[in-house]
Amino acid sequence: MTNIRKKFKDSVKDLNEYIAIAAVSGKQYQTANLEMIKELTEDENIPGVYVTLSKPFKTAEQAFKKAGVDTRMLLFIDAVTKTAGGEVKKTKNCLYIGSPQQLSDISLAMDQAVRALPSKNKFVFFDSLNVLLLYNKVDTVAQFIHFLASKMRVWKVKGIIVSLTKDKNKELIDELMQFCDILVELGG
Amino acid sequence: MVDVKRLIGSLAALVGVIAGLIAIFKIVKQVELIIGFLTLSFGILAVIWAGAAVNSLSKGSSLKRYALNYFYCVGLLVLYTSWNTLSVLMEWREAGYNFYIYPSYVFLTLAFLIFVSTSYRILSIGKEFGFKSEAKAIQKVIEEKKKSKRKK
Repeated sequence: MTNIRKKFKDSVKDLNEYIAIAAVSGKQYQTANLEMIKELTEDENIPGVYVTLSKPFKTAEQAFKKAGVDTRMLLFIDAVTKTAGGEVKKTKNCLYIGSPQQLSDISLAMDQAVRALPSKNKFVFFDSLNVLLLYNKVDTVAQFIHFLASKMRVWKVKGIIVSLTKDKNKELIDELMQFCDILVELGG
Repeated sequence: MVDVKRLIGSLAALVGVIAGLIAIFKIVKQVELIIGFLTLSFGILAVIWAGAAVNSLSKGSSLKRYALNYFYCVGLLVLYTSWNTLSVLMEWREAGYNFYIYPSYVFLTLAFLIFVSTSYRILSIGKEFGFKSEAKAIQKVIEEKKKSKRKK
């Protein structure tokens, strides 16, 4: 087991349902995401919703498959791939939202996906806070994360919100910590 | 625990509605007009709420487009009711003016046309955002994994 995975596992081991902010360095970003997903789908054997704002679904799926992640356990929501006319588009494994600015559609898609998951234990992986900040105002992002955190409580899921460990994010992460349970600092 | 503030608010709203109804019944003697005004007040409230929903949803989102369609439908129904109430108020029917009926047909037809497109939109949203088949596939994978774990 890698250090990142162990650190993540130890941080959340006593929590059944949680909302965690995973602060990851740019260098370790990809590895940390893969390790956390592996921990959830392999060790804990729970299905989940993977919301990607940082990498297109196809790239993320390839990386997951290469790392040995069972992508069949995941429902993907891709808000980064541009769709024709910015419309919502569904394929077999992924729901394309069209833009990271369409927060209403992202919320609706997450709600539907989480409620569809056929398991009592489930997780939501939100990748990432930084990309959300690139396309939306800080206040809007804080409001969205607050909304997301309260939804995660209702869904009774393990929620992970990934963020880069950047100085400019520190203030926002501090603010968001009031809605979240734990800050997991992974690498960097 | 009961939310006292909310309860007081609800009671005040209820008293307001009852007082409004009594006032309408006292002032307006005609049943058709009373029904018209009541329907209009509900319709206006619906337009206000639908408008607020349109304003708060993200630009370009499916939900916003749906809410906007819904807003147009409710708006046209309000126009239809307003026109009918106006015709009763002005006594156009009694005066033998038949022209009053056509605009109300136009409003109602347009409302239903937009209702059709709104229903189609909600059907698309259901198809796009539904994850039933994917969830079934995940269920199978979970069961497979459980079986293979048991075998081990």
